[in-house]
Amino acid sequence: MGEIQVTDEWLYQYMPIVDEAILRELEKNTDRHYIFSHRFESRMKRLIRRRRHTFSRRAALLVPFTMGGIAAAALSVQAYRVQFFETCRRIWEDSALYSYFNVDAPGVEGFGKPGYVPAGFRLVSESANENIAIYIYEDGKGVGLSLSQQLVLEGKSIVFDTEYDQCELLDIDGIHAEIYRYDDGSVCAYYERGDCIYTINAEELSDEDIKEIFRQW
Amino acid sequence: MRKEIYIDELGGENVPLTYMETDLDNAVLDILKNLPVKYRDIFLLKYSSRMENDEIARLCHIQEGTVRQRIARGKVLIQNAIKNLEEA
Repeated sequence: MGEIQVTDEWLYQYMPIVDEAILRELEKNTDRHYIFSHRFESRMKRLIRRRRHTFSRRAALLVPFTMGGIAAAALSVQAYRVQFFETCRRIWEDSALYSYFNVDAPGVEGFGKPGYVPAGFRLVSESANENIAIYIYEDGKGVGLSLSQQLVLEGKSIVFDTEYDQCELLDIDGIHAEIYRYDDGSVCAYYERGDCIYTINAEELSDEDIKEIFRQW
Repeated sequence: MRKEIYIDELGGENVPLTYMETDLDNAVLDILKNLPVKYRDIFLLKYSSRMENDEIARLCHIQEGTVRQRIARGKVLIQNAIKNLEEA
């Protein structure tokens, strides 16, 4: 007794044992048969599904498009550039398919960077070809924002999930934007104008900011 | 030479709580396990994972001086707790 001196050598001997003991206690307290709530399970499935379709690893945002739809948009088919189009929406249990038809002559919408982004956001990634442009933004706290503009092509389709918690229509200069909000605060917005479709995916964004982004784009 | 004994029966209901040969050893182990988290984490990183102070500072998003300070204060805490144990 009275002989223990807390030195580096003593700590190098004892701390690995402490490390092991802590891990074993954690493992002992793990309930391997825990059943998560249905809500938690569905949110995790939604997150996993979305992460399969992220555009950018840096962004790590919620992007509901299929890669097949994006690949179709990447085809440079001059003859299919149009101004107006019709959208057919097919809704399933956990997803919605938007398909585009009757696409007319080349329109007036050009590709261009959004004219408005919320204060504090800076562009961190940008990619574009003649059919799709994607802009990824981040604010100082790492909150992400993804904006994409896609030219509508005949027969093109995109897929959205339908596991949102709230849906609303926002009137922007006479055209309705679809706003989908999720329990975790994230939001997905969809807008059609001219010969393009516009989408916003954000970890958090107000209706006012969504309106201004679409309006000034 | 003191011998450490690990009783490895994961998944069983009766996993023993003791990890050392003597009661004193186990009491010392409990002192280390129950250090305040901000000291314990640094001690684990330094003395179990064998990280350098600058690595610990970067990992924990603190200054290197803070790492050294917490190590010094942690040692005092442990020494005082062992002293109380020995006097009890």
